[in-house]
Amino acid sequence: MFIAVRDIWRSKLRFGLLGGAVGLLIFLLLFLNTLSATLLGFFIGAIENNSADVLVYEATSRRNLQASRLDLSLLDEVAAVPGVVAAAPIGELTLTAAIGDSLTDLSLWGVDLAGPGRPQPIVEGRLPGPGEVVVDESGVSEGFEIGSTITLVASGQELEVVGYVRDRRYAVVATGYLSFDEWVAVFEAEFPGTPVVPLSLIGVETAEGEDPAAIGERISAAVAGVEGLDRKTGAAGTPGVDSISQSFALIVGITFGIVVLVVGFFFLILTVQKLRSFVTLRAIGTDTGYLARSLVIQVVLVVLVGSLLATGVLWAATLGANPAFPLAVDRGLVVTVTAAVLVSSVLAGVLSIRRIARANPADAAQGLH
Amino acid sequence: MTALIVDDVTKVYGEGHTEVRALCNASLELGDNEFLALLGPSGSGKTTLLSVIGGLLAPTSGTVTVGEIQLTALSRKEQTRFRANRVGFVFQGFNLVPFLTARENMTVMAPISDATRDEIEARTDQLLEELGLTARRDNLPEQLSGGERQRVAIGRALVSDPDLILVDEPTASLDTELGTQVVQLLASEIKSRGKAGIMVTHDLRMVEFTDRTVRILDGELLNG
Repeated sequence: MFIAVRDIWRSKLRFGLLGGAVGLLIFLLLFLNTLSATLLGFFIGAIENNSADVLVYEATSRRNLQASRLDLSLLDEVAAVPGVVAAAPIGELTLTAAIGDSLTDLSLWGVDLAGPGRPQPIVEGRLPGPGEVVVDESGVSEGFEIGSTITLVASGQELEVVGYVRDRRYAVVATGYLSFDEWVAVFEAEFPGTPVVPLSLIGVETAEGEDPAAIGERISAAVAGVEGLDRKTGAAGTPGVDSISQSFALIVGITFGIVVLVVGFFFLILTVQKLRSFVTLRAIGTDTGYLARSLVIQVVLVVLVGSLLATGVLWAATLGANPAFPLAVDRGLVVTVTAAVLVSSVLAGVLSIRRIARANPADAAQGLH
Repeated sequence: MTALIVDDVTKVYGEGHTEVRALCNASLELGDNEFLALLGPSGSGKTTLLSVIGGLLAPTSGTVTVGEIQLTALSRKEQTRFRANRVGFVFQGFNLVPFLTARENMTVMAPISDATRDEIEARTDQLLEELGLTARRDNLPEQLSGGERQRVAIGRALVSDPDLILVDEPTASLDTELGTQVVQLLASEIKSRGKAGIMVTHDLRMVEFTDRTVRILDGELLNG
């Protein structure tokens, strides 16, 4: 600690620049992770945080609910599967809506307001009645506020916003929930003459203690032409999710590698520059373990300062974020990323420790010879 | 009492046609409170002998005993501890740690020696005063003159209260007047503490501050 802290104190600019560089790279890691989580939340939040334990898709839809078309008659078959407590219809329709003076996309979900798939919890306002809808609260910045009226452009129908749900957005567009009967009426008005209104999904509530994934498999086996999935699997299986996740994982992985290399190489360069001091210290009786601990302390301090800086910058970024695409500082993410960078950077510091260990203390006596 | 016994020490670098015999059957005894000058030209093996005595280099054959400790029988870890507690080094090029102040270059011994931090700090302050460095205690090596740096190096060598002080060419980087002052100070510090010391030099004028002179030539110790 004695040497580590004094070295940093006397080389404030050098360590400050490294801390800044590490901080910006950690910020990039945090920002990319936050961006990825927010984007995925906007994309599949309605599935991932659905109140149904199991979601039943049409088997050939490839877990794409917009391609899933189910017949209402399947409800009873699904409800009859052992372990299923309740089954309810879920319909989804993306249409153009007018809010105020602007047109926007709206994903409208028709659900059984008392059954699986119901919008809960209502974080503000109340459940919708006839001619009413609750929306995901992220839509507020787009004008979907309680008391406002949404006009469905094709049919001219109007819906009043009466409440908000949280983290229930779908396909990155404003998302609203209303009763299934209301939704059927909207569907028929949007597509006059439609002989049958298909369900997108069937929401299932499982018996207490049952594994939703197992019940999903049981439904798939028992009912022809459907695939039952627990909501996490359904969300992860949504087309596009894999690509988004993998793209972000690749970028995050590369950035992570850069952070570790920057820290590792910096300390290696520093070690080479200070080798004469290390040789002297070893010659006067300092063991390698003491010097290694000093180096680890420096790595830890640099990464922790970098992490604090990164969290501060991320926090500032959340304040300036577009309300339509809110970002938040996730403490768990900060801790995880910092811990991962810390452990990897300490491991990268092993290069420097090996260099110190290889230094020959006898070289100190060679002086100017 | 005998502070140091060097018995038939040989040090050979390399092998075959690249073999260099830096020390040839060197034997030497040094008593407590004795300050010895090791005199010899460049390349004669002075620094190699000093390094072997200080546990920095292992001899090819022969033994080195400091006090009751046979240095050549110690493990590497034990040798490191030996260097921290039983030997004080003053290297030719000062070898101060550039990011530590004059005082910190001495208290750097606190975490590695057997003495407590309080003991090291008390000795440091006393040595700073004796060496005339109190006003320069918070200066970094780059802010010190050559003579001041050398005095800090002497302080560092003495601060852990070792039995044996090994000094390599203390005047090499100093002018004659400053070199003489530093060696005078060094001899005074060693004698006042009752320590044993060896000073490697090729400067004949410095031997007057020592008790005895031993010459070395081509790795062989000659009569003083």
